Amino acid sequence: MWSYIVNRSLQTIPVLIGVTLLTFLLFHAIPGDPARMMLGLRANIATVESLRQQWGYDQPLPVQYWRFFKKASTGDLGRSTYTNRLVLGEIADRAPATAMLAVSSMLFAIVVGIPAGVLSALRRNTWIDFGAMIVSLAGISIPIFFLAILLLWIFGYALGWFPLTGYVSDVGWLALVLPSVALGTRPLAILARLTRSSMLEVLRQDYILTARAKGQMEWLVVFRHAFRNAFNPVFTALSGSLAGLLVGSFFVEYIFRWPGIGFIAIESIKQRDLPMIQGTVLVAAFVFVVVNLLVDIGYRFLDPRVKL
Amino acid sequence: MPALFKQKMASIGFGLILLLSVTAFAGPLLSPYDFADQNLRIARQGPTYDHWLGTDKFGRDVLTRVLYGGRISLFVGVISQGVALLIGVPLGCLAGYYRGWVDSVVMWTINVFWSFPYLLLVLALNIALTGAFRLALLGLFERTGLDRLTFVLIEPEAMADIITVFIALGLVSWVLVARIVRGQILSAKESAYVEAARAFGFSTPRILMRHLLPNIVTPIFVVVTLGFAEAIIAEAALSFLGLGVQPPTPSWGRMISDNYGLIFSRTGWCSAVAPGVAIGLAVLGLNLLGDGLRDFLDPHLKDELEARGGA
Repeated sequence: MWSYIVNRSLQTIPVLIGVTLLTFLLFHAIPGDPARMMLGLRANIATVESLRQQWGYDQPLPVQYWRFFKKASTGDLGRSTYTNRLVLGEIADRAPATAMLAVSSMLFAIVVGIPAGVLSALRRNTWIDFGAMIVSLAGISIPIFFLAILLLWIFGYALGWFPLTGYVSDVGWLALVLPSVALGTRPLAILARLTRSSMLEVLRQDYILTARAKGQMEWLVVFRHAFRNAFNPVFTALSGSLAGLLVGSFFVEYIFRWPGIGFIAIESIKQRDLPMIQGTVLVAAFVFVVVNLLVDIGYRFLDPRVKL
Repeated sequence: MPALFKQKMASIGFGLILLLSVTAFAGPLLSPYDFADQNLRIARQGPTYDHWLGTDKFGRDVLTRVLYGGRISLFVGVISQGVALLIGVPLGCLAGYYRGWVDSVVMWTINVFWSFPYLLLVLALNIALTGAFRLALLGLFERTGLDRLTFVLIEPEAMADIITVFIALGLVSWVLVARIVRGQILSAKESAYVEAARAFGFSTPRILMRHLLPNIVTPIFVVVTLGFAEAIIAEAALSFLGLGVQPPTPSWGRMISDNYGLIFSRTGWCSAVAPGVAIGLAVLGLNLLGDGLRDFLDPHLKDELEARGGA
């Protein structure tokens, strides 16, 4: 087990190096001239030139990359050109709000999605099944920012049940509801569909027949025999959903004025604040790689048969 | 679920896409309005006899704009998946067929791209390309006289924006294609027909093109259909943020972000809700088609695709 954990962790090193390389290329090489891009076409040449020197954009690309890599590996992602604050500090300040939103929307997805999937599988081809699957198809097809606007419109504005925008500390815990639903709907739909198909697969197995034949109570068959075996693929899908959650939170936070990482990410896109955009991209990819690593290791614990 | 039902789902999906394509291309021609015609006296109307889906804040006909926006979305989806195929299929073939260091390099690249959330990478790439690349494109149009040609269809600036979006989406979407192609080639190259072709002394390119690729067309088609859906959402997300296609060219995402303030007015809400519903229907159609085809033709593909969540 330990050798697996060490091996799997070592595998992430080349990927993380690649992540810094791709981020570097995106923000330094492809734009041609990051200084010009930040200042716009109408800036005068002297200003562009001084920024170029100040940020080291006049150096050859490999030199720039090496400097970028050295700084990034010590957590120095530069300063925001808009607020002049340290990028990593800004991200760290905003992280709790985003983490709260991510956790609550994931809980929403799990608490509603998994039972819905189990129920659809058990009541296969009934209206419960069709209803759940149509709702989850809709949940996958609707863009997250449109869903957020619809929720805001219907439950915030028309019915007035929830505050329109704002953070928990200002308007209370009700403010968490709509953003979590908006962000959690897509993972919910994916989980429900996956749980359903995984349960259907398991319910066909002989050991379920055996369990039923020996007179086991139905709910015990479902939970002790079927669900525990159907859970593994669902668990892996959770990590995939997390990638969607990371970006989805950008739009949800922006629409609901939720003061998290996503909110500043969108603001920095609007302000052309390159160091800030670059920082969020790098941090998001880093978090995603680490979460995937943890999920893979967790999967080994759940299912020792897996040999990767 | 019985295969027949899945097929029915797939045909509903196909029907939706067909309907959308026809209305997107014929609709703007039949409509008495132009997508850019402003008339402030009739701004922010709800649905009326003259304007079936009402008007936006500039008094532009929402239906005409939604239909025209469909062109942009379909166009973006088709071309971006074309780019994804052009990059993904050869790389996937190389990695799957040759293994060794080629495979290691391709897999490393795939894993690096895979480490970024899809939409985030599209966003970053689009921002990166909007600078020098877009200017170079515009310069190219001017030098080659293409600007006069594109002007018939669409303004050169809008054309440059759209091409930038194509490239950004394609450069990200190829990863899924390459992964699937590699996996399929890996398992297919062990089969008897490939061995037979090798025994005949056929060259590797011939085996790849004539024997292997035709056998993995189905999974590629499924991936591209689902990638198409993701590309539509991603394009909408880009234009929602004010990137991508610039006004007055209508794009669904842009229409939502321009008009969503109007949901708080009694009559104007249609202008924000209609494009959102249009995106939902297009993506639903593609998902139904992709899912139905996948389950009907190739049930094993499921695990590989299911785990990926977008936005």
